[in-house]
Amino acid sequence: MKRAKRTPRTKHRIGLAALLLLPIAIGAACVGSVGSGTSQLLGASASSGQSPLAPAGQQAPASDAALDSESAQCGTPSPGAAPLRRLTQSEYNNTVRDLLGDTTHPADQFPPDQQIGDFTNTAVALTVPPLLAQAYQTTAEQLATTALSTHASTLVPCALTAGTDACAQSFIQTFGKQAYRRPLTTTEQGALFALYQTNSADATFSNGIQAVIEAILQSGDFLYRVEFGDASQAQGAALPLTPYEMASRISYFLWDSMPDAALFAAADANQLTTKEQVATQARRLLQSPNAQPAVQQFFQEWLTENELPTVSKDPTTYPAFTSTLHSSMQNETNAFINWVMWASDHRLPTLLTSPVSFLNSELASVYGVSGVTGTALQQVQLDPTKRSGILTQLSMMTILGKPDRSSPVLRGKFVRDELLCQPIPPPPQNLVITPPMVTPGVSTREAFVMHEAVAECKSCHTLMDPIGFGFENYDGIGQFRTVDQGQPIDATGTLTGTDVDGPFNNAIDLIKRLATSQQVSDCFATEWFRYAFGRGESTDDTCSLQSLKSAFTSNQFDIQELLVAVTQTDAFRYRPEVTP
Amino acid sequence: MTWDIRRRSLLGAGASLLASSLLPRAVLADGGTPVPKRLIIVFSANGTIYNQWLPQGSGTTYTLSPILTPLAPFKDRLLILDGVNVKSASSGPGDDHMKGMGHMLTGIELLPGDTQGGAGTPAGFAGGISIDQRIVADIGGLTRFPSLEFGVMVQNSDVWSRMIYAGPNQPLPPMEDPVAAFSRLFATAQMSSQAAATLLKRRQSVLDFAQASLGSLASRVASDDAVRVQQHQASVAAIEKQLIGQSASCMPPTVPTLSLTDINNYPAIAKVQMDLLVAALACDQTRIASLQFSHSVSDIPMPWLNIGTGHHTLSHTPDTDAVSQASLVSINTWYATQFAYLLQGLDAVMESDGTTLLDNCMVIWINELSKGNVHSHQPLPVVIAGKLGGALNTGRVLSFSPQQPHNNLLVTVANLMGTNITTFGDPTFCTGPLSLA
Repeated sequence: MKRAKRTPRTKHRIGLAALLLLPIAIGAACVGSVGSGTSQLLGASASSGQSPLAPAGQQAPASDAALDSESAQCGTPSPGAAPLRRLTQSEYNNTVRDLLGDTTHPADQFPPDQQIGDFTNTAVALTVPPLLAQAYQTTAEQLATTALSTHASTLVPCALTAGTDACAQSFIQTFGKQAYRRPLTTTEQGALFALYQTNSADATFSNGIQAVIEAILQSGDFLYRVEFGDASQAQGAALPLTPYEMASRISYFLWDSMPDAALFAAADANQLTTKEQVATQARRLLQSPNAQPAVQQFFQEWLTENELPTVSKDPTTYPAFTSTLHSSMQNETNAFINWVMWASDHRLPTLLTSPVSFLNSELASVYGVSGVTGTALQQVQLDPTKRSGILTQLSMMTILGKPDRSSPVLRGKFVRDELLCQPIPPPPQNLVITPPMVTPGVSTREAFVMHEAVAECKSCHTLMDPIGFGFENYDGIGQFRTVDQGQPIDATGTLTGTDVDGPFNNAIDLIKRLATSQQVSDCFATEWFRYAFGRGESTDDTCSLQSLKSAFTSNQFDIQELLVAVTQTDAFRYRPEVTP
Repeated sequence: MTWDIRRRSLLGAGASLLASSLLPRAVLADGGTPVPKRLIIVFSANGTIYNQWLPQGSGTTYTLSPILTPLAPFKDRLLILDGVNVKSASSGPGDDHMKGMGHMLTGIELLPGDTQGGAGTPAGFAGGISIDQRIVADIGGLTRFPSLEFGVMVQNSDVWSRMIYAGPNQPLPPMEDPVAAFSRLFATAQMSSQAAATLLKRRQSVLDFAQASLGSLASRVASDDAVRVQQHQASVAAIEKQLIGQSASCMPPTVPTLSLTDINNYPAIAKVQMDLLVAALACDQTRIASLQFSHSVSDIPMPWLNIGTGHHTLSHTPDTDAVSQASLVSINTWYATQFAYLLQGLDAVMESDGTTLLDNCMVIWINELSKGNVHSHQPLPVVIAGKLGGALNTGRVLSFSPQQPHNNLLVTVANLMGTNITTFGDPTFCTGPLSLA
């Protein structure tokens, strides 16, 4: 069962930097002249190319100045917070695949991971309610039963019918190390052996082993990514990770899964301590097929693609929006991301501007591309005057659309929030918001221009709607159009408050500007930082973020290199001391 | 046939007892024991059209409103509250939808966090326990499940989508998949008694191990992290209890396999979830349940009502937009129809004393807002149904002037369920129980 995490609506991480500026720049909302309000609100001067940043959970908010200061002292490692992370659904699925060979994605049946902020891997939100604890139990039983009945010989070093205590001991040591992602202590081995004895004594060897597997799968050391750091190597308050902890960090970041044999071997040999050793492993993992779903997971959440399955459209307005088209849209976007990341040049500008896409016959008819038959996706070149990269794909325009119309507000807000890291302040608490209904003969642009007439609306909507109007050539399911409600489409506008300000004729033009923006690339690096660490950034992360952004820039916005750069940061290589 | 709850101490014992029970009679105590009270909370989103919701008249002389017309068969067992005010929502972070949802059953501020809504400051989840779970603390131990949460296409997992809380930052997700809910509640394993004993022993020893492992982890990690691990421990403790009587089965409903993402299935999913909820109560698997339709800010269209515009979008239209207002009345009337179906199901189950399950329930239909286009938290539309074993004086509209804080209502709900508290949530917004006499 596939679930969406949230529906499109006015929601984002707000930048505390922007928030702090609020009283000065915009009073209750975005009040003030658009020009000055914009630049102050966005807290970013075009020349610096630096953007407001998001909050860091319970930590002290980071100001632009502190985060981006050229004079920041980056000598002593400053790792930022490292909250205990529970395995997400995706991490659980992949981990049991690699641990037990199970490819059934059992965590898809779990209650959805609780969400605070943009990503579903925010550590503080990942609690374990009883419904999840029960799912862990049921799943552990199923996984253990399946493993022992189908491929026990690959897990247990003796026949189940000829089991001995020594065999159980050996199994506990080997399997336990894989599952806990580190060698077990003698005490831990003893506790598991006692459990084995309890359950094999009056029953069978197999029942004892089954109990051990079930217990490990429900243990804290399996379900959480437990880290304490290496206190003997402390550098001030920062502890480097132990080799096994580092192996898990690398594999969960790039594979959403447990370390493989090579990472275990590297950890066994204490070869995950230098930056170079970590980078070598990161590059190796990135070239594996296992990296694809893990990287996809980021894009799904960053682009809110995971909302697509539950998007509903009015069938009268959009008869083309069938259930098959619905799922094809998602497949198209997934295929495109995979192509950018692994087949093309893995650069952010390519993601934003390439006219390449992947269509089947149903998608092709919506795109107006001829010569594509069948249900399988095939690579095509779309008309570059009509389509540009990920943003103009059907899936994005569908998510950022209403059930019965396009949505300049959602689209403009998405660009500000997710591409520019310029969160729009929310409307005033007491404002009565009355979105225009679809009215025959009145174009969407005409209907939303009313925001211009109301001061409380204008101050903020002037930051969103003009960008959103740029996408008016795409209706609520992304079909290209030149007419809306009998009115010719006007997709022109002017980008403001960014480092790439200026006029545009349509979305193609607009995206071309965004693709050259330093703010956009810095924002993209920041989004990856949040995702990689399951938290927002804080002042402690100044140097980590600085190094990330400059590495991305100096590598021509190569996303693979950005991910390698994440593993080189203080935040990745160190953690604060644990004080229970 | 009676079922002494204490006898469910052996795996599978319930199955044979229940197989011969006389459903649709509730599987409960015999004539010597009072029939227990049950609480059900039902949620639908985005406010209502209050003047089409509030019945005409007052006290026992009232005419059901257009929206509440589907509840006509239960008119004498309704208590309609006019003048409840979610005053606590004036306090703390979050937008009005987030606060409405998070305060609705907790009466306390949201925690600070990274989720930004359409207004207000960013927030996390609710900052306290919800009233049903407070009652669970007293009576949850009497049944296999302390409480059961059902959802109908809730789909999201953020602060707009959670109303039940075990404590601060501890939202309890609802069961959204009827097939999985069926399996959790009613699945039976066919096995010999010795195999069953081996299984039970293994489960208990495995959960004991998990408990010890989590306890050790909690003692070693940072204190913020330890709070989450301790919540995990409490959850494992809860499921340890559910091992007992796991094979219990008593005339569960038929559960079709439905796509959980196709909005056209919304009514069908609602029906089967309500069937499961009624069966769970009838079998005394729990005494506290909730049913959550979609989520706050839900923007679903309702094609079966020929409504193509999303609910939340409609809820923002001005009062002068007659077409949209009519759609909103249709939507809320449809939810009243669902509520009526639930009441009908409860009323079809006979208790051991000849009353019906509904007679021993308090079923509360609540919303996170009053009026969608202004996001008001007062007057909150509250419908209570059932007699709660005679504790509720029903068949009336109760108007409160001045308006009463909803924390007071939460205190009263707890008191009626036998939980002896004098205040709940943020005490600033609680002046004592709300009299429903």
